[in-house]
Amino acid sequence: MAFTKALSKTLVMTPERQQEADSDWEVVRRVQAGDVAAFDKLMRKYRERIYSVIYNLCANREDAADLTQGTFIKTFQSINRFQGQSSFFTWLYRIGVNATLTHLRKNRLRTFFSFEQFTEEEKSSEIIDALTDKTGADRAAFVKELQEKLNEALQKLSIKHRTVVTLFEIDGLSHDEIAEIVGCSVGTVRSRLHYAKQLLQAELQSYLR
Amino acid sequence: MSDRRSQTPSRVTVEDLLHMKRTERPPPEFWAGFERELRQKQLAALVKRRSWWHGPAATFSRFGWLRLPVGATAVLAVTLVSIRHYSASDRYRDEPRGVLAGEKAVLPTKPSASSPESKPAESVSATPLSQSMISAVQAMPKSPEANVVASDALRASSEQIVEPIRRVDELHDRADYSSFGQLAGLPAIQLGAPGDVDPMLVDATAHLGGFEDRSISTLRPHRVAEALPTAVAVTEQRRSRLLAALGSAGTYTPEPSAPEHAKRSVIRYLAEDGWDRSMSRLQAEADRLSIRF
Repeated sequence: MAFTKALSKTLVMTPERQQEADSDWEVVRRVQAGDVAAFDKLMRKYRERIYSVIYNLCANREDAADLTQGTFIKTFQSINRFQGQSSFFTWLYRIGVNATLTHLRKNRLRTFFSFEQFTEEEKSSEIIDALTDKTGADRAAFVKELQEKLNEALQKLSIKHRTVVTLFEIDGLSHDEIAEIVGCSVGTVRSRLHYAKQLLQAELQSYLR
Repeated sequence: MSDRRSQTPSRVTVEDLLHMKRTERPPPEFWAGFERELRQKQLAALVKRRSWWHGPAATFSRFGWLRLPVGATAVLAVTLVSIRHYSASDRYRDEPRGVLAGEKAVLPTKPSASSPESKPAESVSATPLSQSMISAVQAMPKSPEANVVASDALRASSEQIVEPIRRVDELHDRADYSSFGQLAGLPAIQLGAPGDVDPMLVDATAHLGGFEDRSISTLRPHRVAEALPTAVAVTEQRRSRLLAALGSAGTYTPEPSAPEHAKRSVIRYLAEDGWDRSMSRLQAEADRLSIRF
């Protein structure tokens, strides 16, 4: 029974993820052997994703930058303790998410928002086109307003729900990976995700068509 | 415009809106500054000395799975030690307490055959033996010489008192109350029944070094008997220290003589007629004679 439970808890990875994890493990072993420059490779590979997760959790550019740097420093300091029992990116995400959650709990009452600008890409342009017929300055104003409403709705979620939504919908991780990063069951992840989406739907009702 | 609308998704969902958040990215130049800052912070972290507790904390964190059993064992050990400690102190509490003035004796005994009409008020009055001990003890702190004399007197008195008290205690332990009469007249009987400790004796001994009122008041007579030699030993220690201090200073003489003018005035006074009429007290102690006018 215990064995089955342990087996079911292990992360089921796609072949691409497995390949990625293997290559990361090789680099990690080089860093552990003393090749400090190899850590830069890992840092450059994951910095944008880590920054994105942290930024969407704390909704502040400056804090996100500091926390991302802190995450990499902590990872570098602790890399000798990494035994490869999980994939490196899961471990890195866990450090980053935990640091962010600690930061958010400490500064619960002192919240300042500062957002990056939307970068219009093909997918986002399609969505904006579906939402409005405006063009030019009106369209830019609409996008800004949409961004504000979206961030406002996300900040209304609790930290736990925001974490799950960010990791699943924005960063594109699987339920299993999120469960491993957050340290809860897959069922809990699904439940939190469902509840968070309901809240977001209620908040953004006017933009949904 | 209509062509463009036809290509766009017919229904915008929450997921679509959240996907737009992916496009909130910092500009490329941000990463150059980010990397530079990270290098500086990494160097600062390497140079910064870690607190002493980081090492043990990291070591203990590896044995995190042991937290529960070790914690439970520690709590159990503390509980057992506490129980043993308090049960030991309760043993003293359960024994009959000594009686000071106004307190009633708890000994469930027959009244002593030698003193059937003895009352608590009588035990308050000091016996001659205890009186001598009290005077010796009270004389102790006044001067080094008095200390020496007092310790001798106290030792002699305690030796006299210890043996009968032991006999009384043995009889008490055997519950042989009929034999108390055989001890009538002995100095120990003058202390009263077990628990009826002479209050003046208690007060006097309580002020010796190493004794407290509480410990004395809760002791039975045999405990007082055990405590008296200790009191003498304490006095002996003080005496030894004093002798050593005076001996090293070279000022101590075993038989100190009074100053010459005092001697002369005493001789002159004794030579006068009728000096004995003004004498209020004459006391002989060991090889010493004291006269008070």
